[in-house]
Amino acid sequence: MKSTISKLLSKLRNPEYRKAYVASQISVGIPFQIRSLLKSHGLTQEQLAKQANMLQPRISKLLNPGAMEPNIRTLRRIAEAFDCGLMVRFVPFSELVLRSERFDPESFTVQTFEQEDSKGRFKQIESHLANGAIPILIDGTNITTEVNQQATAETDRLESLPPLRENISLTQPRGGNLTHVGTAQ
Amino acid sequence: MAEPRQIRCYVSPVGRNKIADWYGGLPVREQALTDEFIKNQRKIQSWEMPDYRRLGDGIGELRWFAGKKQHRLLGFSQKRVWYALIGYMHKQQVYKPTDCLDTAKKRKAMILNGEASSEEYDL
Repeated sequence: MKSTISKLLSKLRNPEYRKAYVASQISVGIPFQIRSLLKSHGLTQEQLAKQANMLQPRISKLLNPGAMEPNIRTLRRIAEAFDCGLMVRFVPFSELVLRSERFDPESFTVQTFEQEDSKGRFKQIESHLANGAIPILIDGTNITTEVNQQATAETDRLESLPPLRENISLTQPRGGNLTHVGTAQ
Repeated sequence: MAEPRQIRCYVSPVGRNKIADWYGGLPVREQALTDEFIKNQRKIQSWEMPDYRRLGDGIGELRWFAGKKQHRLLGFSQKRVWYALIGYMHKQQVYKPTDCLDTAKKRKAMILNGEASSEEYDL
């Protein structure tokens, strides 16, 4: 995984690749999401076409990776058919990469409004907001604890490092041996 | 998440990674589409149509689009590893290269009999 991310990072340093990466998240990433939703909701292409008020061949094309770049209106219809939300927002590349790498076509699903409501999700959010804590959600999964643990581990790591030395220079006095001259912070 | 499927690339007897050569010849936009497709495909345990088609003689093809072009990778599976043998493009009944299936069969035999090798798909 580390090698893959390093390779992706070096590709993303090319502005042309960055543009293409964003496009690939739409034209390839979306078909994989819709297929996973079809599977997890137990729907056929025909049933989705009917619920989204679209023609089945168009759904079929929408499911082919790279075949088209669906527009927002089409995606909104698909979201309505699955009774889920659709989030279109501008994000830093790091967030886009994280979401893309975490995406698992075998397990991806999105709950319908009723499923969420019956599980008390909105009451949980109400309670979080009342406490002043905003949960960090990725694809419906609350990763607040994971992020906090990573932040704590990083703080511990930084605190365990030796003091930072600044203004270090090397001088060679007449006696011969090299000595450090600097200020420990 | 299950362990991602391993994909390896055909490397010729003189040491050329032919899949890396094919990938390097794609426009950047098509490289990005290919990367996204392969990344997702690796996470899928059972490859099926429309992304994967079995062609006989143990050869199958991964299929994805780049607009109106169809990109394909021919390869074969052995012990949970998929070996990519040749990449090609299909547009309006034109296949480039035209002899890709024959080449794939020859390369498969060369890997199996040890004349050619393979390396991890890490493009």
